[in-house]
Amino acid sequence: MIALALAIGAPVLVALGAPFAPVRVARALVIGVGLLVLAVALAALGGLIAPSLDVPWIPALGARLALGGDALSWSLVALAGGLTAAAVGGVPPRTNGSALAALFAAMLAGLVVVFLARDLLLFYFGFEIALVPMYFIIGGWGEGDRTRAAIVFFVYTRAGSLAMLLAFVGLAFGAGGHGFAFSAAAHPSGLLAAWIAAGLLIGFAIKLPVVPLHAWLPLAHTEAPTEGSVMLAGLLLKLGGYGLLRIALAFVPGALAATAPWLVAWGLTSALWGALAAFPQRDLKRLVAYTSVNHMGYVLVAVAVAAALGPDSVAGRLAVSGAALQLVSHGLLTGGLFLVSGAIGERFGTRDLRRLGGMARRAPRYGWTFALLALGSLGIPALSGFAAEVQIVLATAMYAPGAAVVLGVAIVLTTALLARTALRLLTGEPVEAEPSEHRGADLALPWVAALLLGSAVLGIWPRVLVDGYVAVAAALGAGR
Amino acid sequence: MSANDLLAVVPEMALGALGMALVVLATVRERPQLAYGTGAIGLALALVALLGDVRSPAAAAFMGTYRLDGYGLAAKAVAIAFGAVALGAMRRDLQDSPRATEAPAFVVFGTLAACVLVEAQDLALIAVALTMLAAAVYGLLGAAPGSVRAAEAALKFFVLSALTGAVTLYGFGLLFGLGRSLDEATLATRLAASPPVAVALAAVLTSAAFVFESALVPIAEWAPDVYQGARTSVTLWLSVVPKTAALLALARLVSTALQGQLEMVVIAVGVVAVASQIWGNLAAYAQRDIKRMLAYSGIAQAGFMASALAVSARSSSALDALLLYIAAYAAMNGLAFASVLAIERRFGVTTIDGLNGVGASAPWLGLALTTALLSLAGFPPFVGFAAKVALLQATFSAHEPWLGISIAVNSVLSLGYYLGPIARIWTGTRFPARPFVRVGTAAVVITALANVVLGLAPQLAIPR
Repeated sequence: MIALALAIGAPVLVALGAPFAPVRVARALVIGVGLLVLAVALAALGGLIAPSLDVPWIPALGARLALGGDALSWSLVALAGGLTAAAVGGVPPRTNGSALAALFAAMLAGLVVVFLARDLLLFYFGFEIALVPMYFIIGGWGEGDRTRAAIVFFVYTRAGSLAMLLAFVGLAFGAGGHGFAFSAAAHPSGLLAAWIAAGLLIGFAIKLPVVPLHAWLPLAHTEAPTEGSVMLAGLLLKLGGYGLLRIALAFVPGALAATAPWLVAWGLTSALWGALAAFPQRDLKRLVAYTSVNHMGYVLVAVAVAAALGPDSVAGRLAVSGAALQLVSHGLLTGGLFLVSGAIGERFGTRDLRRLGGMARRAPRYGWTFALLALGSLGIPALSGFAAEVQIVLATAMYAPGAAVVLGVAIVLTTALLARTALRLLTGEPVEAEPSEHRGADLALPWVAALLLGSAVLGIWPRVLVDGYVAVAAALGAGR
Repeated sequence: MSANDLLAVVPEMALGALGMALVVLATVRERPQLAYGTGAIGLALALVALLGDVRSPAAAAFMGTYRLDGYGLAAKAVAIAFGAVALGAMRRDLQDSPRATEAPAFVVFGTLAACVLVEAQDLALIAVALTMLAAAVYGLLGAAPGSVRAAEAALKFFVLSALTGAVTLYGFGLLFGLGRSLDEATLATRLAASPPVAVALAAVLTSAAFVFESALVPIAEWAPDVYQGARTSVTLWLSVVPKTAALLALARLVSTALQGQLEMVVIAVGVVAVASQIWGNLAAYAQRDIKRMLAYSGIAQAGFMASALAVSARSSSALDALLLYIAAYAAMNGLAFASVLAIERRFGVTTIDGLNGVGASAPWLGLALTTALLSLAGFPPFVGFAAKVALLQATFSAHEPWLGISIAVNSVLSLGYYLGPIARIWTGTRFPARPFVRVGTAAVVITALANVVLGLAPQLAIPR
């Protein structure tokens, strides 16, 4: 109870108070509250505390203030806290920095609510509260055509969330459901389940995003400020994957299983498309954005495999645990990649790959950090990306070997892409970009190092999370 | 009629007495604060008297012509509280008008009419309340004449209200002829045995004044002109109270007198609801004046509320949802117009482009208008979200998912024009310094609080 009050109440209070504080204090408050949330989540993951809450909220709608967590929830809460601190701490202060910091705290509060909610309406509540600050972050502090980027992002994701809301209302009040609480909602079958699954898939696929519903992503990432990109890729995309695992797989597993071949094909297409579309990109952030489309495609594949074979089967456990670990791993590594990309842009005045180069000599810390993150992202052993992807590939191979081969091709493509990008940054001569004296960018490096450390811990010792994820898979299987 | 009947309508009697006192006070033109102060205190007392009702609810009074239930109670509380909020905004906004002292009397009589309208279950009483409500609006429009636009708005409202009022009376006449009663409950049983075509015709004619007051398609085009032409503090009141009272009264009429005509009602009202949502949302995009934009937004919002009305006889939760949406609409639209009023008075702009720099010059006002627009767009944690969910729940449990899907689709459709002004507010540089004017602060604060409190605890506005 106290832990929940800390994890949700503290970010809310900081969001309300930060606008009135000086920039330095506001930033420190948000970093502090991010680390606090991280600490609470790590304590819960370690089994020291197991906070939960379940009291009536809106009786007329059967909605409850139901909060609780398992390994899946708390690992993402930990990611949210840590990444918020890194996003705010890793970039130099901006104009109106207090208001910006407050928006990050508000987003953190919404994210924690989503990950801990055990009520569909509460889930949606947090989902939207996490979304609105991003509109202001892009629209207020972005670059270039930021107003358009913000509105496109917002309309796209809102369309998805309303499809999801309709599905939630269907779950809560169709086919024997009598409320929004997870415990009260229906587990429908037949045509209703198909409609509900469609609504959930649209909502989560836009968020994830899956091709062709990804059009908002490159635009938003190019125009968003660095710290906004970190949150967008590191956390907001995770809402899609988390929703698939927590809600779609739990409430309409039958409909997912029936369409599993199509979902696998969809996820593979998206993974290939993301990798191929990344090759011609010249803007470093845009390139990283497309690799997110690639990596999140794997998550959809894993969820479909888990639904087809049952989350509690051997393959299903691998798939669920792989998907969950991929979410955390992608958050750490891609969050780091965006931080470094932003810092490189800051330092060299450009993020254009054709004009950057020779960093091994001229800015070795940036160059090598980017290279390490890229290696983790393409799935080198000892970093978390490998631990996640190997599980997904194995599970897919048990479901359909052909699909696993395609998955392998997508991974090879990403490998080529990221290796090429890292090499281009490290070697060669820059066309014109000279490093500026601007040292504010150095702020990013300690935070990126911390993210890499987290990724390494998960890569070397994935069991700290995987055991918990397997229990989640077993619970999903038992709940069918 | 017994003493109990009179006890049951203490709040209404208090409003009537207050209104008459204000007519007298309206003549004290040199001291407008007297009329406004008396009006605000009187409304507060009426609200207290109303809350006394909560403890002793009676089922009906005056030989069944007057209903007394939780829905009416909640709607009356919203109308009375909103009247006080609007009076607070009008006090400074109208002070340059020579007839400013008349406004409190019109607001109080309008509030009384709204209270009677939502509780009446006798067609004759409904007709009286409708006429009185329209007269109050007309008086308010006239009490603060400013521009040619305002005069045109008043005339437009007057002509349309007279016309639709007459059509509704004709509809009442047909209903009486078919059912040989003015009582809604008696009509319900007798109309079930009447020729359906005749009942349908009577129902359509009856709805005219209600559709007009609530600004639903097809009688909605007066709203943009009137909302823009009227003084903003007057728009604040007339965009909320007549609309919500007419919608609830029509919902009651539909769910009692016309309950035998379920299919027809669901389809007819449903089509009106969807058409209002689409037309309001599309037309709002073309607007340059924020008051006009909010008028079209109000048409769409009335469409949302009408979808609860459409299923009010089929789903027990529909009236709950409608009531919650009425409270939500009062909070959202009240906040929107209160902050537009404050911005207009402080910076002299009502265009959307003119909002550039408001956030930099007056962050609190910018935040207030942003809150209102996000709430109207249906974002948590504001009440607009909870109210939309309640509507979705009502339409789904009435097995009319098309109404719910329309609400969701139109919520996306509306996003662009709610976001446009928000983007304006937070870009641009400061306005040049102007003499500091503070108008409508209390209205902004109260409605903003209502948005947040009802958003987190919507059951406060669900009357059961």
